[in-house]
Amino acid sequence: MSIHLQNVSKAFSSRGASVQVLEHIELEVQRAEFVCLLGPSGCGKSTLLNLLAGFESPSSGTVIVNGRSPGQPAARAVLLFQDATLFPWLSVEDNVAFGLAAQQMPKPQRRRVAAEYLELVGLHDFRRAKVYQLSGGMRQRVALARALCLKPEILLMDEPFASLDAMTRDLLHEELQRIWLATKATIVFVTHNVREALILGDRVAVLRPRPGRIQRVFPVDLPRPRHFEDPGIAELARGVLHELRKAAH
Amino acid sequence: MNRRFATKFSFLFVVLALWQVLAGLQLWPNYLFPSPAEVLEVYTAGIADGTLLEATVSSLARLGVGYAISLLVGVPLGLIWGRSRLVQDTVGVLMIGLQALPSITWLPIALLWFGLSEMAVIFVVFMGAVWAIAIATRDGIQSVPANSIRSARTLGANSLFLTIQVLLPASLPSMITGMKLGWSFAWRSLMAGELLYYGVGLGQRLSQGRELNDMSLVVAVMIIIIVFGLIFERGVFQPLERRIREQFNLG
Ligand SMILES: Nc1ncnc2c1ncn2[C@@H]1O[C@H](COP(=O)(O)OP(=O)(O)O)[C@@H](O)[C@H]1O
Ligand SMILES: [Mg+2]
Repeated sequence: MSIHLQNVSKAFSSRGASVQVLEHIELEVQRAEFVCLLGPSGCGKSTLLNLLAGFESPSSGTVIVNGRSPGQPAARAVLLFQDATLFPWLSVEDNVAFGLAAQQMPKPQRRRVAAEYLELVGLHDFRRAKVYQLSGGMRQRVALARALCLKPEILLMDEPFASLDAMTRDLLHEELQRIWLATKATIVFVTHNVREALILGDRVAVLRPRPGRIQRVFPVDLPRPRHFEDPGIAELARGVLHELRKAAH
Repeated sequence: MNRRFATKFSFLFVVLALWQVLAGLQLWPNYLFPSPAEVLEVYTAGIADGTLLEATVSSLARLGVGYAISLLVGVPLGLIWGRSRLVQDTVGVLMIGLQALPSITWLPIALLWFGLSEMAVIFVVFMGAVWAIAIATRDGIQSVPANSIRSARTLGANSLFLTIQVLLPASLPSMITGMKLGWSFAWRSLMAGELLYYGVGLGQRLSQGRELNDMSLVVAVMIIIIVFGLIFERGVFQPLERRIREQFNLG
């Protein structure tokens, strides 16, 4: 098993008052599984990913990532953000090689690996480009390559495509499915978009807000690669949307 | 570019011509309003006997050493200041207070600590520049987006790597502002220090000019300071700023 959340709760205290953000979260994610967390904004999705990445610790309950407590290098989990958070003073290839440089891989070697992963996300021709020359979709691809070249066992993705236009998003949905099939990483993908969740996830966990709890988990047994316009997706979307509306109340 | 150069050159010429005309009218006695020719004479004499050259070199040396130490201390200080809550709540408050103190007020202490030596003036220069540099570095560090830091962390960066590869480069635009401010504070401190403390230097030339009623010497020294100000602004800080702008594409 890749990820195990057991009765996890998280409260933040702000200005003296304690706010319960997550409550009694139970979730198991298998190795190489693709799980989407779906919920309205403010329901604690990012907080949940931050717990998995080790940036926050639970108020109660246990979080186990790759058999360890989160945040250790050995947990081998990489978090991706909605804004690609590339480093503008580095070229595209040096951005991709950032984590390799942190591991002190020699420069020629990390350039080679970076080139390989830029190829994987279709941006090989842009390896010498500057970050500001890239579109939003290209930036997310670079961020993806930057994470993938570390060969992480777990990818934690926090609404990575939320600020992209529909066409770019469609394209990236295809690419992410292809890459996931090729790398067999475990992916926990956060979104507030029902179709996106159904296109990508093996399972979709619907969260309800205040406090954030898992309302229901939907298995998605549709063949891959899936597309936005697949009838199966539309059909499932109705049920998930209904659950989401229920959750909002 | 050529036209702009011509404009600058013509402007300089007009200023000099106006100055010469004003001096030629003899509205004020010579020792109160010297002519450009007299100032030029100070330069030729000062370069010939080496006094002005020596003064310029020793002042620049003090400035350079004091400023270099300010950078070496100010940047790491700002880094720790920006990162550590504990430092912000303790030493940070103290440093904000010290920053408000005109650096020349350190001269009496510096003279007691270091005696009548170079170190005393260098210390005053250091005290003048270091806070601006440290504060700008702190501001830069604190404005690094939290997600950039988390991104680096999740990619496996340790604290040292994070600092060198993310925090410092991200803070450069703010740091350069602090470095410029620190540089001008360093000059002010140097002049204040040299005016009060007798040793070879431009400040000492200035007070000598006053004592000898030699206004042309005073003006000559002021022009030297202006020229070096321009040289460093145009030759060091502007290219540095431009490079950083390009790196970050700030336009
Ligand atoms: N560090 C924090 N301190 C206080 N409150 C926080 C903190 N982080 C998140 N919250 C609160 O927790 C709730 C859930 O936030 P978040 O996990 O970002 O939701 P989502 O990602 O689903 O939009 C929000 O109401 C937010 O204000
Ligand atoms: Mg969020």
